[in-house]
Amino acid sequence: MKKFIWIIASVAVVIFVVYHFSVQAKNTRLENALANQYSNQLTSASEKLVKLSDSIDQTLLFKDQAALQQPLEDVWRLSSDVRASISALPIDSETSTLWMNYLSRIGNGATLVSNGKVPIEEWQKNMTSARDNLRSLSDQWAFTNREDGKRDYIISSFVQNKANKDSVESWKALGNSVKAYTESDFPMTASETDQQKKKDLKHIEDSEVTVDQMKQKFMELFPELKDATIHITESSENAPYPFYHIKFHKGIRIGYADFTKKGGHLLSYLLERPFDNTTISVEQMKEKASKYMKSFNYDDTSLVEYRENHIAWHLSYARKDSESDALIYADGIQLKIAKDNGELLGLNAMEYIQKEKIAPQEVKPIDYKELFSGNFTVEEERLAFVENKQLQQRLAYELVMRNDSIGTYRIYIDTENHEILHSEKLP
Amino acid sequence: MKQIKYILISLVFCTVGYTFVNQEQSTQAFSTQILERGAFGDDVIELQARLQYIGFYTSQIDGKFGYSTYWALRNFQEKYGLPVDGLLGEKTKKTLVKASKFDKEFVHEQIRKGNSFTYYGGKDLEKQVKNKKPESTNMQLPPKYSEKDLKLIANAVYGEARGEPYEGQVAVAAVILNRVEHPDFPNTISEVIFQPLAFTAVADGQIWLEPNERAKEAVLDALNGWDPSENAIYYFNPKTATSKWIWSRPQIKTIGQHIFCS
Repeated sequence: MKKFIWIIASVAVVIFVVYHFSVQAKNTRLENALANQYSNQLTSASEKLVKLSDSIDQTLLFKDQAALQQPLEDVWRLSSDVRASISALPIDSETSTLWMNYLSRIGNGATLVSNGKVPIEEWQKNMTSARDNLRSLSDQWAFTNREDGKRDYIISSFVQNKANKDSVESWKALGNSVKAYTESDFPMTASETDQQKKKDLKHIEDSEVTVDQMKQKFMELFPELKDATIHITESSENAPYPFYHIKFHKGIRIGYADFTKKGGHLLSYLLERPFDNTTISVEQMKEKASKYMKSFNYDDTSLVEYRENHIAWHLSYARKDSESDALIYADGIQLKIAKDNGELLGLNAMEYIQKEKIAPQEVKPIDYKELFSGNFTVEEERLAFVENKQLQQRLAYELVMRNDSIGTYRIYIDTENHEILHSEKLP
Repeated sequence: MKQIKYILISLVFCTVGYTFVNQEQSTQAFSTQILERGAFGDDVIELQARLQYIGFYTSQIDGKFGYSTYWALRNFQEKYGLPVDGLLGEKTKKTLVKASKFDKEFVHEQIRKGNSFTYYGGKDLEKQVKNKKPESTNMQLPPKYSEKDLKLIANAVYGEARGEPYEGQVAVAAVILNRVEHPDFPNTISEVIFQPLAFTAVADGQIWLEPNERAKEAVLDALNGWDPSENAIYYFNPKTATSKWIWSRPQIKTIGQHIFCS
């Protein structure tokens, strides 16, 4: 009898432990799901706040009514988007209302300026402080985690608040409020027609190269890797365009290079190795970069910009149109060069392989004083080809505009119809 | 007569020596590198701090030679009668060192601690230190992307592919960026990453792990244009994938444990 009781008790303990762990695992899953939802909302709101602030900045650039329409419309739309994001966050109602009203005023203000009911000068005067407030809130809500791999404290407190509020026995109620996603929710809508967004590399008409020819070309392009152990594979049968994938390994160097099967054009190359703390000079780096570009026969390109970081420089090149001397950004090449000895660490020529078709275009002079507000000065001007909304390559005036308190902007204006094609804030 | 000659020679040596030492001191703070837009590091920190000390630079001291540093340097060169080229060469360095002060220990300490601070001359330095500034990866990125983007993608890459080869980590970052551009996915990086069931690291909480420098470097390469996935929008590990549907996607290539698909 005693033995029987012991068996019953042991089974009960085992059942309880299994149940306890299964409930705990379920709660952890729910907690993760909730944290992910809030992280998404918070980070998304943070990103939208930056976009809203950028759009406001652009309304400070122009005084021409036509040029102002798009940024003002963006301000109205984004302020509404951010309001929706904030309303979904479990923040206290006072803070929420304060920000909702503030964003409403910004959105309404943009509409009034757009309709000509408020002068642009008045809007520009008020918005210089608004943009700082938006940036500051965005920084507070940006995705972050603690060093020990824990969640952001805002997210943790959101989850905790939600759990406490719905504390109908552990997490039961919470389970109903968080959508339980299953495989049926997985997006199955991948477009079959948009497999190639950058360049339609499957239309290359060059003849196919063999594996041996590919190996030989790789050795010619990268002679310093001639003793490397290399392994060549072909792209899968269903790949949108056929290519060779070369993996190489030599001493401390390990990396890859991809080449198109048709024509054996280099798509991209990247290697990894440990780095020394020494740094070569910028002049030496530029000389090396120029030498690399020549060795790969990228003779029709020009260096656009470079950025230095901890271990390497990243350089951007663009093809130069022989007729207009304008830069064609869509035919770009990127290089990565080691700071310690100037070694070529990476090359990306995917966009350069197929050249853009450039149509002749008229260059009509433009009066910047009519277009831009007096707060900005045009510091640099050159010609470049960039895409318009219809994805056509258009010749544009590329301007660098400066305002010491608002920032520096790069703006592209169609040389023929003077449409603002694109603008971006420069770091 | 001989004695006067010795005194004169000694005087000449002393003068030359003093001039040499003085000259060394005046530029010893900077390295011998000529700085221009795009540069990064301790020399840029010193340049920004010195320009701020005398009121030419008003932005954050972060060691990144961007446009705000460039305009400030040009303004300084113009004011001090130097060639206005936006380059920090030997002559500009000397003039700047003479015109300003640089408390290296103070400035680097604030940067190390992640404090928000300014370095204006004539003001109490301690009063110029404010609260902590938002977390920064301290990297120079293409204008299209922010440090917040890099941080979020690096967390996703580290959570998803930290055991993968470097190429595989760049490819995972590229898939995230390809999705942002793709019409069938959300339009922002955060929405792509937090899309339900899109990434295992999000579902199991590994997204919150602190990414290492390798993951950040991989993301940096992807943001700069590298895409070893060859335009993939999906990837999966065949050993752990439970979805049958993912096998129906057209495969592109295999890197490490991941198969990349369009």
